[in-house]
Amino acid sequence: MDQEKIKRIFLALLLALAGLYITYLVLIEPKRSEINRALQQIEELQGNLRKGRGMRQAVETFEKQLSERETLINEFFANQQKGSPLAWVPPQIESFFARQGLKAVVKADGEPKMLDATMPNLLAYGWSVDLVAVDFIKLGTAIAAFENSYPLAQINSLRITPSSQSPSLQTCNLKFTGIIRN
Amino acid sequence: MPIRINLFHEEERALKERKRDPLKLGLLATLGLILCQIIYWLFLSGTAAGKNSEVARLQADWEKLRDSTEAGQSKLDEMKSKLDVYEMLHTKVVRRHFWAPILQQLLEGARLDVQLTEVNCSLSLEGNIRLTVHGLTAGQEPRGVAEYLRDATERALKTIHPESAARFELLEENPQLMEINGRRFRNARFIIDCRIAKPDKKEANSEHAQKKSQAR
Repeated sequence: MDQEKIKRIFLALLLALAGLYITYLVLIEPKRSEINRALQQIEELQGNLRKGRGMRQAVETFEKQLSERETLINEFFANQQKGSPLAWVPPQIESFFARQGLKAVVKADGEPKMLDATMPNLLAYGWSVDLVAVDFIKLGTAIAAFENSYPLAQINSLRITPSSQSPSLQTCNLKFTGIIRN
Repeated sequence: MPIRINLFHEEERALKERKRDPLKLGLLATLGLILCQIIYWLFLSGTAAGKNSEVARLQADWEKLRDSTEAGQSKLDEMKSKLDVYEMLHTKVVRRHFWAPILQQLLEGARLDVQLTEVNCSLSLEGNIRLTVHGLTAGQEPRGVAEYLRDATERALKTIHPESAARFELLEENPQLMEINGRRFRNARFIIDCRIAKPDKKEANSEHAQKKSQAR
């Protein structure tokens, strides 16, 4: 093989490499990066869509759960009236015990307390109920009815002592906390 | 066999040499490879067009969903805090302490020879329940009657709260006899102290916290 031929082979190889590299750079590489970019975008968008659909589903589930709970909670607050609790709670409780055949005197007991810092509209009010000259069985029945009718009331203390009016009757002082929504 | 003499063999050789020129062959091969690359480019272009149209479609879907997703997040946060309040209230209602069953159990334990003079019930902030019963018992064995009442009360309270205990704070016999229906009986004064450690207070709190974390 003469010198001239070797030179030509070398030149041919050089030209082939240059040609292939240039066509790769001009044609193939931009398309490949375009496809990769598109794939990345597809992945990102699919993630967003999944998140969006999941969010919609979560909102629907929560709405259903919330409405169920809301109905229940509204039932708890069914006894609540508008206005200052001092104006409507004592008459309501007194008339409740009157329906049970007992005479009650209801007074506020202490200052209202916030139930939780995150719930400024829910306040716990303390009340004191005096029941004079009551029969023990009637009293027990009335307390049971009270506990069943006022789910947001918790009796904190109960003091039953003999009545001065009759040895078979009792006097009762009942203190309870009631949650009221402003 | 006749002898053939090729007088043009030198010219033919030169022609063959020209045809086998490595530069020419190399260029031809390069052109072939470039053609292959162009075919590959066409294939890639088709794929890229498909992917780009998919991106456009997904983008349009996302545009439609984006506003509702952003609004949904704030709505979800609002609903979660509301639900927490409701859960807390619900737990409070479900786990509250009822006094009427305790009074009923106490009444069932008190026989005819027992007179209850005072009953004090209290519920502490920690959820502990205390019940103090003052009274008088009469009969041949007034202490035994009081013990029967204490035992019956403890058993009854254990059915409501297993961690209940009733003990005498005071049990003393009166030196003077008591007259009932014209008959004179020995009698004793007693104070029974019942303590009920409400076991479900902590459970209620942890249950509420668990529900809160699950909602998040």
